[in-house]
Amino acid sequence: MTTHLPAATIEKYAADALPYADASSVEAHVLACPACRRLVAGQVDQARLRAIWGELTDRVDEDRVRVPERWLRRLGTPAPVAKILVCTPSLRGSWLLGVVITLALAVLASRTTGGGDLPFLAVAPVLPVVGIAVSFGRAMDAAWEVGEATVTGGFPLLLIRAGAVLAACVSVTAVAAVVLPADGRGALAWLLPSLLLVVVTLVISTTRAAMPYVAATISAIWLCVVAIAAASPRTDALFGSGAQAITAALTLAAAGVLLSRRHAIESGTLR
Amino acid sequence: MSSLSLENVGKKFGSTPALAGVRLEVEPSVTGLLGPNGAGKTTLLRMAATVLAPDSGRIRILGRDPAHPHERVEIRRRLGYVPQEPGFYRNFTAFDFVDYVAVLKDIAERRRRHDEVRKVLDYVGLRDHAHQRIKALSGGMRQRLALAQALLGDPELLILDEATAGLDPEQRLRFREMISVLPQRPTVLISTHQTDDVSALCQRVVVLIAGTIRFDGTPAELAATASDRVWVDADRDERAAVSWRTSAGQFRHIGERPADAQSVTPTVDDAYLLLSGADISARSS
Amino acid sequence: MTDARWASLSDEELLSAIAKRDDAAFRELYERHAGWLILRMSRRFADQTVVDEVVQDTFLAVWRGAGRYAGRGEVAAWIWGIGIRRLVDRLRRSPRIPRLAPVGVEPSAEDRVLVGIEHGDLAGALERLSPELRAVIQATVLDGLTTGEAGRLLGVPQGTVKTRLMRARRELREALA
Repeated sequence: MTTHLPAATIEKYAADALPYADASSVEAHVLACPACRRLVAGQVDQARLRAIWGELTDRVDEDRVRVPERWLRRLGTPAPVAKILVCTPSLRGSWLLGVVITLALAVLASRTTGGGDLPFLAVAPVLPVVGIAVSFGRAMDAAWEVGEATVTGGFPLLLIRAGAVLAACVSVTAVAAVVLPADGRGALAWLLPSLLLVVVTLVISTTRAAMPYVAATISAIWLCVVAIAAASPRTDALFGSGAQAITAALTLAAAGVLLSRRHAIESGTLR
Repeated sequence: MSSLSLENVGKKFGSTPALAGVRLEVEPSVTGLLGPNGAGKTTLLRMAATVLAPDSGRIRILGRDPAHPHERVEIRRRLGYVPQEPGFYRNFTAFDFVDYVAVLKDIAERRRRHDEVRKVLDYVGLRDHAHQRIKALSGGMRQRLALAQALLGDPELLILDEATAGLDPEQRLRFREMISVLPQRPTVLISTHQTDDVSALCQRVVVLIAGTIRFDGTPAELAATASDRVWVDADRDERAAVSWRTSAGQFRHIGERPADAQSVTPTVDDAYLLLSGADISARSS
Repeated sequence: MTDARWASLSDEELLSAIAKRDDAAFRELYERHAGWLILRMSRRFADQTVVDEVVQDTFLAVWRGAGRYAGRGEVAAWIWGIGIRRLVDRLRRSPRIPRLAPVGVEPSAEDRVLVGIEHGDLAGALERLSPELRAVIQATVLDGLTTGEAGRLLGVPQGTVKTRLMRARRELREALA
């Protein structure tokens, strides 16, 4: 096309004041002529173009939400929580893989050694404690300080992340528990000790103790307790129904202490 | 109402005092916190950002008490903070990271949050890098990313800890401009050890040395503290407290000016060196 | 809004940058093509809200499918092809009364000259067609829709489109003979 459209024609086209055939020829020309496209575009309200662009950008950004976050949202997780979860260091693939391998080894040990389900029951409650310790605090969370100065910083963030790690661990462990030896003490015997250890770790962390140390200490104590119980003739002392009731009571008590001390976490005592 | 008020604030790490008897009122303005490394700047700013509590004394931020849980939340709603070493999730995109902070800042509704994220990324000039992974961004871009997250939700108080460190001169200029033309005109408290940041950006400057405030006033007033105490000579003058060779090949001296020397107009730099240099001589005597 | 780096690139180059998820290239493409697309669609469908949504849909499809542009012909024509089909899809989802054709206006001498260059006698012949027949010609011949799609756009059954198309062709042949 050698001829460009006259300005008056473009104005009439934009105002829908051209006869049909003329408008069609304008359109044919515009498809092939960048210069006239620009002139035609100049007839459109800039605010309208910006408004469409604003909506479009939002849809493109939504289109870019990455897989883990997208799945979490599809599973019904509120978008903000999904965002926090994908930003939790210990929920990254490598850590979850570690959990799976550890549990697999524990199950293997439970099936092959004479100890019954004891190796599994010893290891399973430690995993969420370690997971929470590596998901929170300055050493583990690159953006800890930025997060700490926000409304959600401190206790709320700790709870969301601890809850997420616990949920992830519990789901994986529950699957592992299914393949335990049939003579096991109920596939859920590990659950209450898990909760207890997690809550106690959080409570002790509200003092100025660094969470990784607390987690390591609590885990060590737990493993010692299990070892002592294993040496005694009746391991039911730790996992029997009576012991479970005591564990439940202790967990509730510890949760109460944690709630009463939540503001200690918010004032930046975790480090 | 002052945006930030410290009364007799002290803080020790172990037996090392980081701050001692600090009194400071910061009014709405851009205030520079100047001081050598280890002077306590970061400690002071972390307190102002509610992430560190003082051992002694009283702090009020935006008229509220950060020791009180509910008031602390109210402060955090109105606060933007760039820590000295803002960490990032390196595998995240700039957009995802700022979006994460926006979630933590309790901007719950998705569309409003994403609009806000786009707004701050646009403001710091990262619009076209919003979807690059942070590990692929340059140092200067990361500094701007750190600023972007702090600007979420139009904070009333903006705490910037050495936010211009590591930027080249052109990036520093752009960064200063971003701070000085913020539409909401928040109170800005920015620490730096670069005196030209202070001269170019700040209406007020506070000099912190060894945990105590040594000067508090306008940059011009700071420069004036060195008036009549700066002279230039062809040779090094042993009587000066601080002296260095300038690019012109002469020696610039600060200290008690000898009668035979001609004084020159002091800069903020001179005054700052005089303050910190005097401190060095006081300690060595 | 335009970035100087992108202003010098061709549409094809922009598309390959968009396929690599380049935001600035996408913005430049939008700057170049959103305006005429809005106006052209407005002549097919009067509801501004719907047109704006369809323009969004179109560019979202361009963003997602930039890699599928295989260098065939004008990028503008490719975008229009996506756009007009999005409009048809949109009408299928929520049927509304479409605009059959623009209001007839007497062409000015100046416009006539232009059309003369482009179409010769065809212009006059088209002008004499009834609005229904013109709309069918526009949808199928000029916008490149199938008779089924044209039916959805115009809100009539496919069979009607086919008969109208045949009638339009016959009338045009007679007019040009």
